[in-house]
Amino acid sequence: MDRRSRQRITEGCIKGILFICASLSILTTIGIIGILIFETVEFFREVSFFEFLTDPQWTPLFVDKHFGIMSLVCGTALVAFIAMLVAIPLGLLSAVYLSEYASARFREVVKPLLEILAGVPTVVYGYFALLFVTPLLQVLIPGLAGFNALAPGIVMGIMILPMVSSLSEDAMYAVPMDLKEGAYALGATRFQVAVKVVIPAALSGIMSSFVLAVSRAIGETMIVTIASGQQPRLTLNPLVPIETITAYIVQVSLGDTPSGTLEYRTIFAAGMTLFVFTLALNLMSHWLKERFREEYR
Amino acid sequence: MVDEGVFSILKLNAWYGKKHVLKEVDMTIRANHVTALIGPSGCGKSTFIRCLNRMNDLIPDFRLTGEITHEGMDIYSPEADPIEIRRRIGMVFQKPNPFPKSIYNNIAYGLRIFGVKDKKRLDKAVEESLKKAALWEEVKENLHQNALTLSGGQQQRLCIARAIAVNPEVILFDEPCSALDPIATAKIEDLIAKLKKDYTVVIVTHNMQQAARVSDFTGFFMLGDLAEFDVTEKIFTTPANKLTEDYITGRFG
Repeated sequence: MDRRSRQRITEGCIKGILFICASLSILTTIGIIGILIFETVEFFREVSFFEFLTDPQWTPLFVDKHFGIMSLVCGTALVAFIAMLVAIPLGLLSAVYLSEYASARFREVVKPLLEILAGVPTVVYGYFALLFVTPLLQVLIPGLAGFNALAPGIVMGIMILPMVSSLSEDAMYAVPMDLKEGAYALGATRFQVAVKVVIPAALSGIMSSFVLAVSRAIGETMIVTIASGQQPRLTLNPLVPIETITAYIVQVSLGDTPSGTLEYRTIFAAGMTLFVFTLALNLMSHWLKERFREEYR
Repeated sequence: MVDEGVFSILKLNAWYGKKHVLKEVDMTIRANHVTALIGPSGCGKSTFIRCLNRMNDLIPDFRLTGEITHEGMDIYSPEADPIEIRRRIGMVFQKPNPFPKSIYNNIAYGLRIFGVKDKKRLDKAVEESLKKAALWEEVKENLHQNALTLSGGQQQRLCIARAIAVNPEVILFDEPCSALDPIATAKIEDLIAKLKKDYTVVIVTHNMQQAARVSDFTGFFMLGDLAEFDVTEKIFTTPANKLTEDYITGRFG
């Protein structure tokens, strides 16, 4: 065999191996979605879609079974909302500081440090919420339950803060200097340049960082499993125990629910709901990016 | 030749880090005249013009000694406020840099940051500035259109209108035509000639014909030195310095 045909065979093999690697991840995704859809369809054979959306109670593991996903959705939304209340203002302000005020050296040191926050294992955050933040808040807010939505929400906000600040800062830093100079030359202060020129010009990046952070908050599991209790409740009160979709899935997965039963299938229906939400948010973030991409030049 | 000027610059030295980019520059810039600054790339002319409204403050590692007085006030003294200085001494840049906002909001921006909210006053300022910048007729129907949809030349005139709107005393032009085609360039040059009635104009340019056409005084920079500064006609007909002559006759640069 001459060199050329040997080369051709090697090239062919490499191409095949790379193709298999690439298809593996795609097949896995398809498999996951397939199982989700299959089990969800099975679930809806026994429970009506209407009940799923409108029943105020979620009690699949009790004798008196109710399948109202809204109480889980509500818990999830509540914790994510509290997290965003923490992460958006703090993240945006630190991004403004890093991109417009801080010296290059300070930025180089602080940005990676902030990003470390995202690397702390979530189980540590969970215990931090349960054993440190909740007792602290109980001093300030009498009547706060030992498990609640507030403490995990705040801690989750801290966890996703670097996501907001880092992505927003990237977007702001990418705003061309000549645009900023145009404002400075009119006599704008640093703050005016940041608020009226840099933030509007970087809006698409900033918005998509918010959306990614929300979808991270919605999918976050460990903090809420540990610190928010396991009581599905249709409430917007942050001071009482609630349960999120993710925490419910953990609860059933770890329990002794036999597979193939209706109780078992609830986690797929819940998982599907979660999947729909995060998919919608990711699409939204993608759309925002495209929509505002050519905002400046 | 000139005794009283809007700007008097004395022994100006400037550095970027360790690089010495302006050396002992003395110059007097007269009110209501156009002063052109020419010279080969890297000669310090852009650095010089950016010292006049403290734009270089934004660059880390920039350092300067000497004195620049504007209307008798040392603009680098501790009491001088760079924000106020930049309002009084406007600037138009090499690349047109309108904000990604509407034409109207581009011009209103400068007034709004000084707290002007009155709609009538803003409308009037927008119209007047656009008229002065010879852009009004072309855009008066579409004031709320995004400024980035304008052509390069229109964008640059919009930037001039934006600078005019805050009512400065001086307008600095840093190579305003280098990104424009000849027709757009001619329009900007006409405009500059008109602007000197109301404003003091300083323009950095790569284009010697442009300097000859629009300016009353010309300064020739070479490796950070102000090699020659005189009436434009003299610079282009009987320069005193051999370097100037070599440069304007195209022997280098």
